[in-house]
Amino acid sequence: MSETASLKPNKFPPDVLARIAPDVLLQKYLQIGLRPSLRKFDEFRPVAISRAGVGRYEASEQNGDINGVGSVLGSSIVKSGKTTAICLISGAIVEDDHELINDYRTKLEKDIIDSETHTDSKNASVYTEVEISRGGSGPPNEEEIAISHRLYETIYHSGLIDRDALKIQLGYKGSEQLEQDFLPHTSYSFVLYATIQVFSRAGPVYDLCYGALVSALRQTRLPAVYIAEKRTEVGVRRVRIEEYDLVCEAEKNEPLRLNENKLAWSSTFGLVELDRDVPHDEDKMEIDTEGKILLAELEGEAEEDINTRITVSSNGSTLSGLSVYGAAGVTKDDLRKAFDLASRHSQYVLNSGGMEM
Amino acid sequence: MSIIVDNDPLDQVDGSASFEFGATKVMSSVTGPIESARPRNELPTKAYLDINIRPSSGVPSTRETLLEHKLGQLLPAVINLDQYPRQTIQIAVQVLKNGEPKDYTARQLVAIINSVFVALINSGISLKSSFMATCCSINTKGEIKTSPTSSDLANSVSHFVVVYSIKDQQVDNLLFCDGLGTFKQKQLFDVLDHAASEIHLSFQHIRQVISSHVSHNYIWKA
Amino acid sequence: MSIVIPGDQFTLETGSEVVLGPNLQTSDSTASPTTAGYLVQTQAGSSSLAYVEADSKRYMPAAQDFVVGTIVGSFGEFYRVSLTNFSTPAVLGFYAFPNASKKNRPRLKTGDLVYARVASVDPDLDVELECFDATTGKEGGFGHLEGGFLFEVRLAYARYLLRHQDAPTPYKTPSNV
Repeated sequence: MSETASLKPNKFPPDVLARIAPDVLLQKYLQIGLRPSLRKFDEFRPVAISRAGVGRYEASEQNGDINGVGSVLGSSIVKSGKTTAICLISGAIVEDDHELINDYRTKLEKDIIDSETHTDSKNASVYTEVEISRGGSGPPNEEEIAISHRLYETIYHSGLIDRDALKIQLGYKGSEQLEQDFLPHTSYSFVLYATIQVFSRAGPVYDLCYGALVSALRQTRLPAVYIAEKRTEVGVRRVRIEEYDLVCEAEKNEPLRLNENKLAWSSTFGLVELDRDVPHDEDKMEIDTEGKILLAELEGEAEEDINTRITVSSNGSTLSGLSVYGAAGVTKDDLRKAFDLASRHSQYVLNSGGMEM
Repeated sequence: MSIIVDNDPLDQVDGSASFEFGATKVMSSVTGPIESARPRNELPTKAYLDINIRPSSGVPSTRETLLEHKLGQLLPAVINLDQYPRQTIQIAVQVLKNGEPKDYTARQLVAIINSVFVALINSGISLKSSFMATCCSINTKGEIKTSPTSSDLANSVSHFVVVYSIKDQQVDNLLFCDGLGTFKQKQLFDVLDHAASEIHLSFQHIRQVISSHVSHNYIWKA
Repeated sequence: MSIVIPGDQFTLETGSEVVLGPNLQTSDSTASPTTAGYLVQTQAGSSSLAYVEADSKRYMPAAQDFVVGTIVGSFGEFYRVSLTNFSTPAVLGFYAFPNASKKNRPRLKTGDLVYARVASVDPDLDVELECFDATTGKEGGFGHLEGGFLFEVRLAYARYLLRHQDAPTPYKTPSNV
């Protein structure tokens, strides 16, 4: 008795193959000039930016804070494809001395820094917390922490927010200016926090988070702050202690001043080489691109498998916050192509009505 | 830029190195491939990279997590991870001197990448190619400075960390580039050129340090 | 012999049969080292041999290597043998000893040292050890080690000792011996 073994080719639908062999699926699509997400190579997903309208000074909005006591100062909703990012900006007040100068003096004493080279930075940033919902709770994972801190660093170094813009001008309740003699000896600043929640992610989410954060910052309104009646000055053994109650105005507020020319939009690209060894179907149209293909805004498991990436923020002409990595080796031509697309895309997004809201 | 590399200073790990340039100093160690401590770290086709970075003062924060994340983006491009399925490669980094303002990590990242490279060589882990990092800054006048000092960074409008692979003693592929601040496309390309020539020069020294360590380990061959 | 590092390229002689040893990777007809070490290229008959002699501290098992291991446990009909700290342990079958049978099997305790030969290595499977000579099936000096001392040396020196019967103890020992 003889047994014959026969091999039957397995057939998988694309979404299953994307999980088993993402690289093969990707190559199969690229060979016929398509992407697994069915977009063109350099096509971005449409972006819709809207206001969440839940802020303290947005009482007129449907979801607005009617009592004007909440801590949300600005908000935004950014949608791209099926992914949604919601950003809420909240704030707190710190004494300036506590934040920087004390730190600076102790370091100076310990010779950690020298006074000649040390200059206080004029930039400020926003402390960001990103949460990518994936069903279930837990502490933030490495990706979320990395995106959060990267947003902080990018905003800080891009110079979007001046430290002065967060300084608090104290006043009385009402419209009067505070007299110089009554000004407290310490000065105060706002610190901004942002919470970004991402729903139904489908690919890298940094761009969306950046967009949501920048849009929410544009909406942010800082409350006017005045000194309440209660003010005590207690002297104990020559140490003078000052106590104030700082009250944030329920109605009076002014928008956060941003350096508008630093407003940018971030774009991520994947760089992939066409693998000539993957067998291709004879009758299918083949693309004649030699070398590497640049894919805008990766989406889906097969495209996320690409591990050579270029992320860059652009305001149309000037670049900021660049991140390039990958084994394939990125050439200047690749960068030029990516920067070109990123600039065009950001000009489109920033100038389209969506951003103005 | 004067570079001081200490080869294999630690006895208990498979490979270690300290890298010092200017006011920045970092010590790195590599252990591996070893058995994965947790089953979920066992990847069926490749080694898992367990990267831990500790700051020069205080406890690790989100800043260190981002540095670990960046190192994790670079290393798969240079280590043959697929040679060690289900294994773990532990990389522990201690920043000894950060040598830059608190909101910057450029100099530290450069020292981390370069010390990890020498530590990886010492550990014998299979590498695809040699690589080296350097940093550049652009000041308000648009001048490019390689290996900027703390004050150069504080007065810069943008700064960059650039990593190139090295093939046959020549700078080859751009493996990693991280830029913060605002800049123009042309400025970035100038930075890449500056970084490439800086790496070409500095790598001679690293190579010499590695060679002398190899011949020291084979002392009976002399 | 020259010292090479990863990224250095050299062409392999074509035509003849080329045998690649440890620490080399190839693409087409060029080879490059995967770590730093001495490049050795020798001619053995019609085939040429190339490998990189590199030192390290962590032993990566290779088939037909002679190793000293510590018994760290047993499961089923196998001992678990640690060759290097924290690496995945190798396995040594109860019947991988000369003249071993169900009744006459070796009695080894946890912590005992064995001198063995690496029988097979596959990245996806456990490393297997054997305690008999592959050609004769006899003892061949392998088995339980009793008495004496165990010294940890760097791998390069261990290999040097194996190959040179009259190897001197280096007057100035390499670091980390």
